[in-house]
Amino acid sequence: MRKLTYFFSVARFCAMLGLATLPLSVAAATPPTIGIIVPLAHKAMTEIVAGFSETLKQVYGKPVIIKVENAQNDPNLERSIILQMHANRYALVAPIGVDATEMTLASIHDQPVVSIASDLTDKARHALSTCNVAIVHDDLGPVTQMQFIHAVYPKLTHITLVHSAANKVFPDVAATIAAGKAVGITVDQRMAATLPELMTVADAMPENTQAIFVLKDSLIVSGVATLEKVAIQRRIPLITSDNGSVEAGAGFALGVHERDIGVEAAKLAAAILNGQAACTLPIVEMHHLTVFINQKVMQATGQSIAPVIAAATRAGYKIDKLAKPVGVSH
Amino acid sequence: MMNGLLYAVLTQTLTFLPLALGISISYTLMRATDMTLEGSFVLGAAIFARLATLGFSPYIAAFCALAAGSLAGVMVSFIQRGGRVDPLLAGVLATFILTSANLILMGRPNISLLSQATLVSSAFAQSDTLGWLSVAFYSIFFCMLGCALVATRFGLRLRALGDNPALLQRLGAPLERYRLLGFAFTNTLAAAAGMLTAQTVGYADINMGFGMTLTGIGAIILGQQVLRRILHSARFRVSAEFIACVIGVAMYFMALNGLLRLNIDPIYLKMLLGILLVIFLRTALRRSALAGGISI
Repeated sequence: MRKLTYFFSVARFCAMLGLATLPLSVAAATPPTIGIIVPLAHKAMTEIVAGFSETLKQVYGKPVIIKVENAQNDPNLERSIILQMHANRYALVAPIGVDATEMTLASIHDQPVVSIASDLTDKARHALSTCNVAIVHDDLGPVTQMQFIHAVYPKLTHITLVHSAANKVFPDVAATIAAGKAVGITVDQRMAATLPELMTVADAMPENTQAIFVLKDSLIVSGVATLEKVAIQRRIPLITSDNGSVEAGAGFALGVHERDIGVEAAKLAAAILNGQAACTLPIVEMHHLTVFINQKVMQATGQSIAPVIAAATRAGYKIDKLAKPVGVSH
Repeated sequence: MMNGLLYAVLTQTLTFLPLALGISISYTLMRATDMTLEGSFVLGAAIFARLATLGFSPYIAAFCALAAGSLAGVMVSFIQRGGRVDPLLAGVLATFILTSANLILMGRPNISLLSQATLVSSAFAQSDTLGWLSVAFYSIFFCMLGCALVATRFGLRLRALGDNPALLQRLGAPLERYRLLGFAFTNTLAAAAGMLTAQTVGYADINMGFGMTLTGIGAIILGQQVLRRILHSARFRVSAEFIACVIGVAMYFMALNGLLRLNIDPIYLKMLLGILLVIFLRTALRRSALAGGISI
């Protein structure tokens, strides 16, 4: 009888142990979940997410669950999303942009973060109470931009920079003016805080402006068609800083493929998932630059693409022609 | 999962509460839809962040942020002075002014507070619980101060200003002074909320107030509807107004976080949130109407 009782005790213990470890084995089998925070719906964001998702699956090699959450430009919603990712113990959180990165780092201290397209510096991440972030920068810097514009149009002396009050763009405005001065270009700045203001800004551009320049500025890019009309009327080039805006109506841009930003972020994410500490990973800068040319818009604004191609070739940039000019067959 | 939900609701409610109380006082007591509160929310965050990053003590930065909020209230009151400018328009104009003022004061659209000393940073450095207790202390302190003021004769006169300004004038009380003090008071609460939010989210941003007034109005009306259904009374009480704010804000964040946890795509989230709250309000209204015999 005692042996029987002992047997049942051991069996009960084994059963309980099995039950207790079941969730652990299930958890071990569950693939890690990665959360991507998209501040608002935008073509560039979609490209970044696509690059990230596809590359992570290839580079990491093991199954992962990728959850993409769009905060719709609502800080309350963004915060809720971040808190949910924290509570659900996501293996990694990847916010896109400055605000999303700052809010994530303020709320999450014990999970790795990959900051995509923010301006967080190495010094700033090491100043955090817990350094848990790896960073991908996406800006080329105004000096590169202005040098390229100067290389394309050496006689250009007056340019109008149209920008919004977006936090990522604002610091670059003063830097663009300084970079312009260094190559003999006077940069007039015009700010449109909202899209309806862009029409007024476009109409009130200085008479002597020889080109319109836009930084990587999602608000202005949304209304790039307004600037395109002005550029066509005045027969001046419309120069931007990303491929999306060139597709939407700008003449040309020196920038990076948004997808490549996601690709670089995915490589960092894979390294973290493989056990590397986020803070030890060096900040990734985008070096593979591309000149995007909208041939149709260049023709409509009376500009030749030859100097753009020549300058891009001299600088060793890749060239991506996005639209055929009118009258040219495929 | 439930703990995570409650944590999210509680932490978001805490920082939003002073703003909700400010909106409630302006909307329910003074019968004014003061759009300036949105700008004052950012102003509080902006001044605090700017001064904190310039190396000022967090207490001095907080004091200046609150003072700036009250000045924004004074400004909107001056715009409205003598009823020459429509109150709603005055709020919109004041918001325009504040948008530029905030950008000038900040010097850039976003100031990071991630590694700055703030009112709550040392508490957060010890533990998240202690940090949030500290945030709760400040939030409740501002709200209690607000409630205490509303419970005085000053609060009574603010109600008279909203309900029957002619009566207040007949009683010999200067309308403009009460309007000025009322707006200064509500905008100070908004600045307090902005300041607390900046410290908890890690930055002050020029766009962080976007949609806050509308969310706040929605939340307090929701809270009032629920409370009236529970109390079966529409009589004004300071404690009831505060509790209505707490209920409304908590319900808003509960719905928002709850829907997110149901894995609903955030693209549909706002629509579902709206529908959910409409259904809830319709049900609450119908039941209270049936109980009170009111036709709706």
